[in-house]
Amino acid sequence: MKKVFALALSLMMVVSLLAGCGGSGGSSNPPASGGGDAQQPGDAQTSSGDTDYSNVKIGLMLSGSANDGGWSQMAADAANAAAEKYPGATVNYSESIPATDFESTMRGYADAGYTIIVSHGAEFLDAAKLVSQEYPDITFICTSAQSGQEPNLTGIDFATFQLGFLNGVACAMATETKKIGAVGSNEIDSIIAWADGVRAGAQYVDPECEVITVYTGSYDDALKAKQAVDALQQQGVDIVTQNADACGVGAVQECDALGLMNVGAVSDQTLLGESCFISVIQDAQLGIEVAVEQAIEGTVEPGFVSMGASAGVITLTDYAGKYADLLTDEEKTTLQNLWQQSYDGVDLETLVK
Amino acid sequence: MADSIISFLAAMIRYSTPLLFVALGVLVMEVSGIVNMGAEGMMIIGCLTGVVVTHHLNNAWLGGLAAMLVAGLFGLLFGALVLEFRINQTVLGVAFNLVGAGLTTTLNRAFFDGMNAGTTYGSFLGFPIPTYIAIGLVILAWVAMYKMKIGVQMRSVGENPVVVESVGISVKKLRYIACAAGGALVGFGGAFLSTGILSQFTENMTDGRGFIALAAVTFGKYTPFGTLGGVLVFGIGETLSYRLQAGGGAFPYEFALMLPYILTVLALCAFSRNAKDPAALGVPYVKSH
Repeated sequence: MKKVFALALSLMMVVSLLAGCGGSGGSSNPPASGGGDAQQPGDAQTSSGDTDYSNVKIGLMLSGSANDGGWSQMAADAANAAAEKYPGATVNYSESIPATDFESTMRGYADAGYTIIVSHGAEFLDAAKLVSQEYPDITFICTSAQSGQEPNLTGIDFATFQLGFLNGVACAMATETKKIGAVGSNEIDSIIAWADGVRAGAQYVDPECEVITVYTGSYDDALKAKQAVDALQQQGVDIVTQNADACGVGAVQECDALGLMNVGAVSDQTLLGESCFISVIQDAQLGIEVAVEQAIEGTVEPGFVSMGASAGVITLTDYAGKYADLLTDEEKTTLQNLWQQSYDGVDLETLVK
Repeated sequence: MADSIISFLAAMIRYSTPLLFVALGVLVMEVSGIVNMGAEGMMIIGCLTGVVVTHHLNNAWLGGLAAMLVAGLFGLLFGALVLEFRINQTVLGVAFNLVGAGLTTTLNRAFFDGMNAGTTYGSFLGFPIPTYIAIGLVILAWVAMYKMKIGVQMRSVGENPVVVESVGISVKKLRYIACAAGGALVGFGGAFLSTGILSQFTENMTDGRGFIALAAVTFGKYTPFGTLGGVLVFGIGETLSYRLQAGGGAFPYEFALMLPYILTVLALCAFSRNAKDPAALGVPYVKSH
């Protein structure tokens, strides 16, 4: 009887864990090593004449949860959308991978015969640079990366500086105290670039504006973001912007509770609370989708690639919430014009130098 | 300066409330001799239950009650597996944490993704009412443990269950009560986190608070006021970590974020060196005939 219960409990655990990985093709662990050399995609024809991409296997590595409503979910949706366009191509993903498992997870995918390995976030770059050298026939893509590596690692930056710059401009035009709070998840390359962008954007509008950056150290714990906003308010901050995955929910909700203003980043965070009056969207989904499609076609270039407003990755939402009419028409036009300039290929960083 | 201190203390107390409920739940189980390593799993179940029921019934208190019920049932299941089948309590706790994380993730993605609680608990003098209840529970737990028969029996079960059984008191019954009550308190802590502090469920939102609660109970030498002290030490560290970052200066953010954990470890070393665990803590009880 005791054994039966122990077995039942074990089964319950396994089922919960497997199901918990969610999403189509989800997986919480790196796939078991199974050999198989990487093959060139699309080298077989189906009977109907369509190209068969069943030898295309895409492995996606996420540091957060695949349904966080933000950063990680974008990548999962993008990989699935790209794969759907190529009959037979499959996607598997690993979620919430701890830093200690980056390399082993990547090698697990490579050894299991995956042809394209997408690691989502700058935190994976070091591991990707190391592992990609050992598997020259596999295409590696690392998102939010500030560099890539010949011959098979493409580092894609989704214009995080541009994102932060537009966040900073919107915040600086709204603030009265001239103190802006920026809540980031961890001090990684992409978040640092974003925080630099916020600072530059704020300085562009008003050189006296001060940007205070606080890191939560977490992608999931929304309470930490609330505490961060609470601490920022004590420093006189009256507007907050955040780039912290699911943590961002807490930042917007605390702004609602404390009567602060908020500018969203990455996803449409105007939906999360009344205080968020505009979001700067970073449509990594589009960028990843394009990159994965290029990888399947075999046309993706190794090295560093930047995708911003001109690639449709950075966009602005409509104004919403209780501060929707806070900015004047002139200010709204300024923000729109800055986006237009980045769309036209102007490097926003040059505007503040 | 005074305003800063008041604001610091207010934030610390407000954000420590969920942890206090969880720590009290763990305390109740541990004094009766049950190691609850599964508090993290029970808490996250309380988080999801609280949001779902609050959303549908538009009442945070009913959400909290439902979370107590569901997590209490998980507490009873924990008790049954420990008491009837004598499964290793530490391993079972880890299993409950995995089940809690997996189950809530699955259910959330399948049915409740992005659900907003819609309403919250009322507040009094700037603090949510559950904060007052949590402090009241600390006093109540102290009275129950040291001034009431049930508390003395509960502590005795944690120290020497054979003696308790020999005077005709059912060890199993007392431990089942502790498991149900402990689970319910942990569940309410979760519900208060997701509907009182926040207003929606996010995966892994408990972020290790179930384990911090265990440390708080050990820090407090298995007493209610000591446990409150342990929770406040962690709360001070957590609040300070963000104030230091926001305050600017050259303080590295990594050290700021480490602060609550370093403080907790130091406090454990300083004040709990001579802490004596309940003698029968984690020891399977076999009724002698």
